[in-house]
Amino acid sequence: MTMQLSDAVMLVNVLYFGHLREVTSKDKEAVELPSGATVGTLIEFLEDKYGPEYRTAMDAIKGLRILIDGRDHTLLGGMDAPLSEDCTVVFLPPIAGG
Amino acid sequence: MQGGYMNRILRVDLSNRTWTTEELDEKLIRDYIGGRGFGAKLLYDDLKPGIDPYSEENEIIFIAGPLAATGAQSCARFEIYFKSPQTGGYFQSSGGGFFAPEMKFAGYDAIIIRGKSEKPVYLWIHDDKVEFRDGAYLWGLGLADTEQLIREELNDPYVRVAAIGPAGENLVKYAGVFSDRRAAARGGGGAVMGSKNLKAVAVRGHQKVPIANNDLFQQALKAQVATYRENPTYEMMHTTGTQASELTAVLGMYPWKNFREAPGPEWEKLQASEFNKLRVRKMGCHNCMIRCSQITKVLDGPYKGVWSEGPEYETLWSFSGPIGKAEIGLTVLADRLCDELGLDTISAGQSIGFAYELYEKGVITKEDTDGLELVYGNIEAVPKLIEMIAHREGFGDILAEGTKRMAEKYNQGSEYYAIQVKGLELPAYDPRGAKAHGLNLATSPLGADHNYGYGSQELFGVPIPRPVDRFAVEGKGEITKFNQDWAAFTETGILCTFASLMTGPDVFSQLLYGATGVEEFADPNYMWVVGERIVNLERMFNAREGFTRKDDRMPERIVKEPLPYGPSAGQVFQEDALLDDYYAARGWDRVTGIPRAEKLLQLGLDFTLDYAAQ
Repeated sequence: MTMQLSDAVMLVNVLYFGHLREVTSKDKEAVELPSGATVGTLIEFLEDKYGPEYRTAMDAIKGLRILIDGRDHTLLGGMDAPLSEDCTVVFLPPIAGG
Repeated sequence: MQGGYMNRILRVDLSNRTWTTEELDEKLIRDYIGGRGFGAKLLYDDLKPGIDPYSEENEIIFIAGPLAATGAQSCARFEIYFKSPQTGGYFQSSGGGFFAPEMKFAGYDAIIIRGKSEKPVYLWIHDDKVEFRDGAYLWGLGLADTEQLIREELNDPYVRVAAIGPAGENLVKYAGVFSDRRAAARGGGGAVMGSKNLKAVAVRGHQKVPIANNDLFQQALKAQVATYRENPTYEMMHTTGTQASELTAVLGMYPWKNFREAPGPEWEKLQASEFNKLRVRKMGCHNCMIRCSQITKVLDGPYKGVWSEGPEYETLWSFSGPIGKAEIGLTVLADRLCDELGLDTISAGQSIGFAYELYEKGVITKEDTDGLELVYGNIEAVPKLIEMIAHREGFGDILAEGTKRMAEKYNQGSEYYAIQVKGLELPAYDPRGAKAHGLNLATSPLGADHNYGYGSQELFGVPIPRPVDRFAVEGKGEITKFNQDWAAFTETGILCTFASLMTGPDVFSQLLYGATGVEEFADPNYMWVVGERIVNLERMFNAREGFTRKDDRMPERIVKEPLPYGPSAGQVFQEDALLDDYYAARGWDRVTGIPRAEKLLQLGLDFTLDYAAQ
């Protein structure tokens, strides 16, 4: 765990859908992370908070998208994508429609 | 002869009540494959430029693809082709269900209808026979009654019917053609049928669709099923349906109050999980394991007891976003009404939403709206307005013209917020948040039709041909070309748009090759060229009608007004830069937006050269 990146902290909004709602028993929450936290940091935090079930559930969702303020984390650095104060991270299962 | 095709086109003239058949031309098959390729070529060849869409000279062409009723998954859609009364240009619209397979069983790849019947009529096509039946007693009826009475009259519950409702009879500019509650809704094909006094086309047949190489075809079919099962989107659509409000909300692209805003937390009332609570049955089209459709019934509240097949995403948005209110029961009721009366939900919802903004700005008052108070939050008027549109009653007569003509009528700067391209209202994804998706809406010859070239990279995160940043402008011309050519490629076999996200080009080519036996179709590169040929031909249909770059215009609000908040905050649609990039990627003239002669010659479209960019 690398939670102590900085003494300063920031609030990050997290949205859940599908099975991740069941694992967390909520559809959204605000979590406190150290300044400089990344997507990887957030996932480690959520594993700590909800147990290994969180990672298992996440890995089981084929095609899961992780959006940071509406942009795919893969375009922003993947697991190293930086988070910022009051940003919103969405764990989004595949959705298509029309 | 090849398999897949029934090798027969039916031509019907309603004016003199005659019909003929003709064989498919070998060159037409090789150059255009089928489906949308046939529709585009037949319409270009048959129609003279400048005709009135409501004239006897206009046609409505029903097409079944070469893979319909072969066993190939998700290829049962019927498509209609016509000159649109809504846009004045080329149009094609697509509906699911069972009509296209029945056309094939009756022995037809295409049914071309022109002329005008003196009295209301419906066509009864059964195997080798065509009858002109009295439709007067059906005139004025809704879709469900029409289909049922025709089946009863013909004493056959398996007859498939494509029909219009009162909206089509009353020439509502966005009336659709419906079959088994599935709609080829957009562009006014229903109004074209209405102008011909044609209430319905009923088909029944008993032939078998030949397969050229069954071993190859079965191998490709197994591969198609395997790709579905491996694709996470399949599981989602199979279990949940096609409601995507979660997606557009978290992208900040769920348009709210006539594209002025992104929604607040209200959108959560319209999540798929909320609709799933109302689901009472799942439904599907012929030979489609996805079964994305569902019967929804409202359990409580003011709309308790109302049911519909749907609503799918576009419809649930059309009766929430434009009027700025998320009431799940209303979306179900509005869906049912539009299905019954024969209306395109997108244009109907947008026209009503436009009226709400006109009312707010004082451009119209209660005196214009027959006393209805179109104040945001007041949704009671919406079902009444839908009925008034379909019957062109009072203010409904104006709404029935769509937002472009409404803006022309009321002026006072309202064109700025009439959310349409070429007269066709925008669908449910705010293009400011997805530039390639928007570029497709701007440049499609149909107007703002999302299915013409879904921006699946930006919307769904599909990394093909490469991952893209949805806000980036650079390179979006090439991506849009890819998306539009891909849609045309897959519509040669009329593969459902949803399924095209799962079926790759290799499997699809093998399906077509196995079914038809045409060797060229085994090569996906050949198919990409055909896709590009179709898009260019459709463009040339409109060029012949006088369309140019000036018609590839987004509404001013989308170009000038940044989204105020949410995950797409600050974004506008950078129209000029995006169009320049697109025309360059297409090899079209940058000033006029029309294909150049060398591009047309390269694609074998030499018969369109008279209208090429100079």
